[in-house]
Amino acid sequence: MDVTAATIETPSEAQDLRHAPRFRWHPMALFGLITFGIIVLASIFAPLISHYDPIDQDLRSRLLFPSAEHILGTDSMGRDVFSRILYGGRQALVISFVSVLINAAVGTVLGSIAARRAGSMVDEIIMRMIDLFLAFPGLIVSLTVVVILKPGFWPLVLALTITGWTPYARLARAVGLEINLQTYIEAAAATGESGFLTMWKHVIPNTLGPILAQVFLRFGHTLLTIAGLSYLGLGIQPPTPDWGAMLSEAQAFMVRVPTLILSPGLTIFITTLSVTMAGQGLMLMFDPQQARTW
Amino acid sequence: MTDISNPSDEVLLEVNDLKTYFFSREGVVKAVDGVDLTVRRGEIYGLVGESGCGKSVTSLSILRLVGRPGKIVGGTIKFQGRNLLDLSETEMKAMRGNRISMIFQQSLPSLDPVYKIGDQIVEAHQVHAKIDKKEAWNLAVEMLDLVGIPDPKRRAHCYPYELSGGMAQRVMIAMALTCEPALLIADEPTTALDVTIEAQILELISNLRTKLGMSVILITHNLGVVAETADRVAVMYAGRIVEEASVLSLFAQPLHPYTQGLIDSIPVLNQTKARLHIIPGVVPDCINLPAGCKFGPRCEARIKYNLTVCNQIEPHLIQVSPEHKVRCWLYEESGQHQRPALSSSEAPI
Amino acid sequence: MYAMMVRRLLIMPLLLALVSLIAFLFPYVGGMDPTSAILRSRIGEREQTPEIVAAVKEELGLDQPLGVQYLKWLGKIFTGDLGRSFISQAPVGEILFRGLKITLVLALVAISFAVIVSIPMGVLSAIKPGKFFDNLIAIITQTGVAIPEFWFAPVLILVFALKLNWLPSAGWRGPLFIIMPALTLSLRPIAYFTRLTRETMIEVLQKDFIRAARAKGLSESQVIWRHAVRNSLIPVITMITLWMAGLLGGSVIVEVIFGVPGIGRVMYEAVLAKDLPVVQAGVVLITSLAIIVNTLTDLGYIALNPAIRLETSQK
Repeated sequence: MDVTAATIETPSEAQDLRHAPRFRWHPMALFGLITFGIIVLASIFAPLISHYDPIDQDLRSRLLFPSAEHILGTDSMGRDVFSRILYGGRQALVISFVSVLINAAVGTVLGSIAARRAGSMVDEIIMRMIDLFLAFPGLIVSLTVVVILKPGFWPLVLALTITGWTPYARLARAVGLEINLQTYIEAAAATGESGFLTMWKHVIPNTLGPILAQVFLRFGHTLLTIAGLSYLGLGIQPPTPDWGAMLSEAQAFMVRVPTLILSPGLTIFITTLSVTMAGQGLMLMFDPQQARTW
Repeated sequence: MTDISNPSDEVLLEVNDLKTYFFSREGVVKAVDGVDLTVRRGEIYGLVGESGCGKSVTSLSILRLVGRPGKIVGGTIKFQGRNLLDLSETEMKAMRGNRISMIFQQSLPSLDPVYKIGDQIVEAHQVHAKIDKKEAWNLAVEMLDLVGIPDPKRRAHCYPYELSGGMAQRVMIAMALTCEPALLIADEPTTALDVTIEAQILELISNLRTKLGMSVILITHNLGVVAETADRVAVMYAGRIVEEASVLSLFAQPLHPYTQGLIDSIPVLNQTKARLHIIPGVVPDCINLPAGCKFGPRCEARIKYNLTVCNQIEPHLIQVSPEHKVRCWLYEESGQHQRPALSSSEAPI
Repeated sequence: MYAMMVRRLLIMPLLLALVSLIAFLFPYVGGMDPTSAILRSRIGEREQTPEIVAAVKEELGLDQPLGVQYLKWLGKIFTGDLGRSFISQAPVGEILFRGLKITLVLALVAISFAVIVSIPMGVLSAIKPGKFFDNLIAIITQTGVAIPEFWFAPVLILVFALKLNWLPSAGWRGPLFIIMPALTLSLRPIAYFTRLTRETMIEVLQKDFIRAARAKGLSESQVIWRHAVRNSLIPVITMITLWMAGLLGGSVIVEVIFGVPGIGRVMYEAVLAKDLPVVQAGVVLITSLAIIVNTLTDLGYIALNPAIRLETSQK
């Protein structure tokens, strides 16, 4: 029998219980938010940053390559591209913002109602409405609205919100169904709280996390739609600078001055990418089961 | 308890100082920390313990199926003389399902929902032997018959969702025994089943053991199962074996305070008690294990005999009699610490 | 299970009726008076004397109440008479179906390409989540979603048509014309399919039967391709069918840029020209197709999903 002292288990390998922070920023969310923030701020403070008036034409300086005077060169009408880029996001960003808010609000409420009354007539109707609106060809419907109502701020918002609320409703319903199974909802009912109040106080606030992530994800999509409409000439109208419209103008000259399509395209791309990454990162933060690492 | 077959003394599986740790963000979880066990040819070896004590991880370690972030960090697993931890992955795959098989607690989810059960048994066979589909299918039907599935010819064409829990477990056993393994590891095979089915499955396992001469590691948290079916049994706590004995010996004279606590906790139908016996305290946090004996903090004997060594040094697994090993300071002399004078009921045989 | 399926089937015609109603009514809502538009297309402005106007109205049934007009219009659709284009006077049905066929080909090529690329990418990134390959794929998919089609397309044209002269820049006169538009259209599906495959696979790889398969001695690649992938397919196939339907309406920009005469471009030109019959019939057609595809996909999902089967079989 071994009499010498057995090895004492020293806690050298086992680390002390590190109190893992409950709220850890995901690098994607951080990167996305910061980049997107920079772009938004640049748009807001455009007048302070740019030296030129974005709609000021100078036909003697057309299609210039980037230089010290014009950081990104000039376009076909001699306008400074850099300034146009700075100003070009304003309308699109605001319209996207407003549309997404409306969509999220409407969708969340409808989805939560459907979840609250799962299986009933109301639920069935809302779900079918979602199916119906989802089936419409979104872009074509937007085109039609804009053509009928003539391009403008509110027509564009309408074009984006007619069918745009559906993804939020679906999500809100799915999340709502899960929430409604939680015990604290049962508890609320046991205290006699009305269904409506429960929905407002408990269901909707807990739905907001995933909805927020979805907001970021769809924001990028909305932005692309607006840019697309502007590209087709049916979005933001000249002379207001807009990235999508700039792309369309640049296309005619892309052989002569390839850099002209780079700036607006890259800007749209980076803006969309950053806001989508922010959304993805937020989603991972709220639902760590989807985490990429084990 | 078996009296039909006499398990030989030949050692089939010898596990020595097995250590399997999980490296997580919160710390290192020492799920298995120095496990020794020996399984002989043809015996049913029970492995008992509470949830989280490491019994499943031990069995997965034998088959080297521990997934990230777990890792086998030490020890040896000698199967038929060879150390399994030395084998290449290819050689290990040749072992799995062939020389050593495993069945799991949840039988239905362990079957692939999109394949017929006949096909899944055929697959278990074709992985290890060159056999054509027709022949393998016929053998599969035979296996289904062997495990007691009625109308096996038709059943082989069924999909898992058509089976009940008990039937699924039989299918799993059929699949596991297709290649006639020397060792079957049964990880809580009956925990998810109701009592009547449980009895049937245990009987099936026991009979198959006799018919095929294979060994079985039967993992469970149910002492009753062990008493009914196993030949020898080991009790696990916090990643270690704390007692190992023949079933007769363990139940006649449980030595380790934990084992005693477990047995005392079983309610007996014809006894009247004011309160059920419980083991005080809770299972330790696997990241922050106490120093010394892991059961120490909960041990009433330590308090009764006023032992200080329990908090400082971990006891070894010592052989108290040919059929009985225990890991406890009550039975070990270590020079400085005199074995306490135990009452006659506690003294080793 | 059957109850669910029947319900879905019954709701479908209801939805289709709603679609037709909306399509019929929207010009009135939008202030585009169809009557004057029709008149203008039939007879010039100058010739619109009250008598001629009244005669034409009667002939075309425009003096009837709205409800009747709707039913007549619906009836015509069922018999295949979708009216005539205001602009070209050609039968609307012809115009739409010609475009539909072309877009279907384009969509098929795009989706096939997307599937071939994205499923292996999704599977491979699920096998080692969080490692280099997975993160690389993640970046690629993020990019795919964020690239505007109307930027990618001109760049493709610039490089492959104008500079390298390998491919034609626009049109629809042979197989080479399909390549760039299909490539552009496939960007978004690749991103979504890869993500879905990856997520489904990761979930499936956690399941018990995967561990059991390994315990049988199967090699890792056997486990993955025989068991994990087979079980991951259903959600992916569902998504693929839904995307096919979605591409029918979503191909507008690509078709316009590459000059492909598909249904997207047809609708685009019709909307711009306010060619009502084409727009109305087109919207009904595309939306109905989408609803039918969605319903069939739902039915297929219910029928094939072992989980739902399991639920219902244990009743």
